[in-house]
Amino acid sequence: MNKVQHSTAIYWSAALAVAILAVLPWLSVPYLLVWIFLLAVYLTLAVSYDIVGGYMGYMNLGHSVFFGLGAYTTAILLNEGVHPVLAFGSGVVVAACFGALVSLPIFRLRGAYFSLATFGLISLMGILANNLRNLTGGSGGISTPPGDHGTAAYYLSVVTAIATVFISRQLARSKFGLALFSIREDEEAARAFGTPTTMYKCLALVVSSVPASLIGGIYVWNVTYISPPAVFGLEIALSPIVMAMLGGTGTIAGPVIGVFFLTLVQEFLWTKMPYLHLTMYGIIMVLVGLFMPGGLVRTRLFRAIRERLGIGEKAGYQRGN
Amino acid sequence: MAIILECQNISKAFGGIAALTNINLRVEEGRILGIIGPNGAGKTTLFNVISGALRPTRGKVLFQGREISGLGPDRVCRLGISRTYQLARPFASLTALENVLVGVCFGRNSPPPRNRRVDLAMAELEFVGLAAKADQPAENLTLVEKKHLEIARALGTDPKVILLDEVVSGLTPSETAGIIDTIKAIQRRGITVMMIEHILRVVMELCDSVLVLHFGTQIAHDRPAEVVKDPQVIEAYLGRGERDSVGCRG
Repeated sequence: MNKVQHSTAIYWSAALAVAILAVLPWLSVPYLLVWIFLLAVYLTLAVSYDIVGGYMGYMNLGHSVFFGLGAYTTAILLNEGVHPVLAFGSGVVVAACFGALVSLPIFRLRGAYFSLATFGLISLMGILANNLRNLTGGSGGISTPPGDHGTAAYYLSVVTAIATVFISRQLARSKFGLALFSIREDEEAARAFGTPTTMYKCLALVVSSVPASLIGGIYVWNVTYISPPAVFGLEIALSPIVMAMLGGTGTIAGPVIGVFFLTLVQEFLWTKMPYLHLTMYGIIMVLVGLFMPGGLVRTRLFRAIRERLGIGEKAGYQRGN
Repeated sequence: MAIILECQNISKAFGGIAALTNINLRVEEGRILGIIGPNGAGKTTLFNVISGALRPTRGKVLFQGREISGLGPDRVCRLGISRTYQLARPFASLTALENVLVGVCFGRNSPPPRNRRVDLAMAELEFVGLAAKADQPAENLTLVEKKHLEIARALGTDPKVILLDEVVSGLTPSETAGIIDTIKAIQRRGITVMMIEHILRVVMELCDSVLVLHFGTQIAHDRPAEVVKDPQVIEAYLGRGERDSVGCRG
């Protein structure tokens, strides 16, 4: 088959996958729905992380702060009787404002210092969540009104995940993406050729905060209970990042593949070694760093597969734009 | 001829080290100015001050009559001054086209509309002879191609003044001749060129005037033929003994 026919095949497969996803709730497979929901959460987080971490080259280890802010804001508002859509929106606004404010000091740091400082933000948020008991319910967590909205949450999460991948793709092919790539490659040179780096760093952080906080709101709406370790803990902080890096940071497909791969592996390992999650992540990161620093999508095997299937677009400015 | 760029009493110190002291310079529009001097004389520091990457400790940089010292490299670029780097530093994993596109999208006086961007970038790649390599990642280019890409990237910002920092270093004589032709073509476009260079043959062939720096001070600023006869210049480059025995150099 030639390349054009391959691309059509891919689009048809994608359409089929979407159709299957759409009808799943009617097929009485509740466990699968839950599993896909979690997949959608991780996918949204990994792809939105990679906008700052991969496209721009600033490893924002504190990305899940947006998730937690979205979740807590939504939970608090849901308990006040606010309509879910409004609650989600407010979560996004809070997270975006936080992102805009924190970008001023945090982007004065580079490299490992930046990553450590952003990682510290998670601890900060966790401590705040634990101590502002009147607002957040403290270490006991916060429960939100239950309801028969599991299916709606499922659809919302899948749509959010797909939309996030779409946004990431459009960004990578645009002038915005070009700015981020230039900052990653050589920030000083980027400035020397006119890129307003301060503005784009802030914008990138804010853009990445939107899907993360939205999926945080949807998450709490669905599971009806969150606590500081659940949304400001190490697991939710590091998993999406490990997935993005395993798959291949700085690419469109990388985080997607990383999420699918690790979630499947996790599913298998969960029954065998339920307590070794974080250990496994650590081992994976070391192995990736040693043998596949570019992630799965940059391995020769993957490139060969891509060649044979005739797919694969590079994250880069598209001439059609 | 209008004065397009002016340095007034520019001094730059890093802590206790005086990298530049009282540089006074007036560059005529459309000319090629060479800047020579031993290593460590402050040539690249001068470029950094002019392009806005460094703020002068004292003094002012004036571009088309208005002060630009301390504006920041991105604003200075948009005003019309762009530069290349001594050690070619393109955006490594981006393609040659994307490298030039960065300048086109962000470095111009007014950003071009979407449908013009690629054309403008390709035009510069064609100008330096890299059109065939437009989709190659910059890190895969040879040294001379990277040097040409540096020039294309700087030209993409539609500059009025271009600062070339040792653009022929590391090149073979034929590659050097190619760059010389490119620089002449740049001048024909009406762009003012300031070039740091070590190879006197290139300086003699291209430059309308030459500035000589030594330990951060300017010791000569004249036509090339005069500069190479200046005793202070000869002493700086060759040592005191040579000063008395060197005649005219070509």
